[in-house]
Amino acid sequence: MIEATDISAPTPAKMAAPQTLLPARPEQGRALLTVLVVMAFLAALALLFARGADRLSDRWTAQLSSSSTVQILIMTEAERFAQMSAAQDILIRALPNDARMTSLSRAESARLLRPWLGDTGLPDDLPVPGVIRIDSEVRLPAESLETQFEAAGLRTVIDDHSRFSGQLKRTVGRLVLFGIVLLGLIGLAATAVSMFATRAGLAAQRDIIHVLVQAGATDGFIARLFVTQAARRGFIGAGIGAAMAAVLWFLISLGPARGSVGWRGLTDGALDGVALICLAILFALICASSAGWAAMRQLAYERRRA
Amino acid sequence: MIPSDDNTLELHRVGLRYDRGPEVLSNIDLTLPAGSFTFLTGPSGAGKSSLLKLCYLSLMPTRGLINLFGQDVSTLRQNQLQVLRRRIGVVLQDFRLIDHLSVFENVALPLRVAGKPRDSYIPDVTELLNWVGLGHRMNALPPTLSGGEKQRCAIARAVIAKPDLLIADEPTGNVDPEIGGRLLRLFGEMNRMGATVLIATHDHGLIGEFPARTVHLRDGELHEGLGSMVVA
Ligand SMILES: Nc1ncnc2c1ncn2[C@@H]1O[C@H](COP(=O)(O)OP(=O)(O)OP(=O)(O)O)[C@@H](O)[C@H]1O
Ligand SMILES: [Mg+2]
Repeated sequence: MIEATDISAPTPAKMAAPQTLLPARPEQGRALLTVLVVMAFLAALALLFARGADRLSDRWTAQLSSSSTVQILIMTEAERFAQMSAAQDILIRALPNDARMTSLSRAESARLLRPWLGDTGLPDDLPVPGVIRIDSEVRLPAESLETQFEAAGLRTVIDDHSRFSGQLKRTVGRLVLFGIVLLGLIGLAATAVSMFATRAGLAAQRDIIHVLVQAGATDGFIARLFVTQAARRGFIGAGIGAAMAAVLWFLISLGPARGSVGWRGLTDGALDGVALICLAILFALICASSAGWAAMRQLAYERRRA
Repeated sequence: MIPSDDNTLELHRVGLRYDRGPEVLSNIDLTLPAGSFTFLTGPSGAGKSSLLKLCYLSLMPTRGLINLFGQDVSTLRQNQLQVLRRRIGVVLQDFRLIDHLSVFENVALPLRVAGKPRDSYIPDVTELLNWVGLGHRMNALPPTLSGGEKQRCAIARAVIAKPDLLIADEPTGNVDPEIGGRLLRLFGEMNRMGATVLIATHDHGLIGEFPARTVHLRDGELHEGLGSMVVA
């Protein structure tokens, strides 16, 4: 009945793992992977720059807001000592103990005026404003100080850098927002690419899909094939792209622009790494879910048309 | 023996046209009792393949009613249709093997689609492939098979899931009479195990060898029991 040669066991190695039902199409696959790598690389850079800018602005504003100056506009040089002492008394009462207060001498204060008045020696009786520098973790209670100075008959200008640090914060905030928008756009592009690839795949594998449908495969079963494929491709693409961005970022942190990535230590570097891993996972998820969605939609659409 | 209302397939006044073309099938009435064995004959272009497509749910009729396994197929949703399709084994004229999958994987496909664990079906698939004489070609890819080997592979895929309805379109067209006879015995075996079988064929030798009910399709209409006599 059956020829003897027919009874041969299959090689166990080939039986062990099932073959993937969708053929690997190396040429299309590679082109698509390149696109995904580039997109992931750009997304990773956007993310890293946004994080770096955010960290730098935090550090600068922290430095700025921890120092402030009070200028005392003295009337005459004769009153300098009395007015400075009065101002210092008020400040000592108003500030916490750990605040550091430095009163500049007349010469030091005068040196601050040099950019405006030039190198000419100042007349001895010209009233040079007194300057007190305050370094404190706590913000200066500017308003209450102003009223107290006024009550003591002092004319003062308090500069706690809040205007400058506010501007810096707004600028960096805009940069970070820009980074987020960029990430969103790249996510949108990844969705579109993945949907396009899925539709192309469905069209190219029409014969296989027919066989699967005839064998009783549900839309979900078929969509899962594309989801698996897209997830794997997305994860590989994102992995390569993110790794490239990480290397670039690391080189920037070492190079002449040292400090510009805002790393304060290992933790910041590690957190950037975690952020990149999350980005890669998110990227793969976006690719996979849009592939699944596109497949379900396309299958239903083709059925309606048939 | 079999209750009369226990029919695997019933077609009532079924008509089919492709797009805006003429009716390829008109007023087809066909009943396949569960466990029956039927040959479908007819001249080329009569609509045999089209009728089979209706039976294995590849096409929906433009009019009329199709009851499959007791269910009106026009009322079913996609996933319910897929459950029915898993109970049908189909062998097509052009085989429809998947070229990048090995013979083994092609035959195992219906079980995989049905979600069967891999370990559970390896022995069954191997045994069946040995039985149809493809045991030594298990890891081969379809493009490297001969026409007859492809056909045997397609038939193995159609029967592996032990379908309740087995439909074949010219299943013995490419094989020598000896293998053709063996494949027909495989269909007979499936039929004895309870499957309803419907085979479209030109091969009257086959029909002579295996006497069974024969329906004849001509000019889009079905004539009972005349097939072998009229054309032979
Ligand atoms: N997809 C299609 N679109 C349009 N017309 C079709 C299509 N398929 C078949 N036909 C037409 O329907 C008629 C019946 O074709 P069918 O393939 O069912 O015949 P058949 O009996 O199987 O012939 P054969 O014995 O040669 O296989 C033919 O006139 C054919 O041209
Ligand atoms: Mg035909």
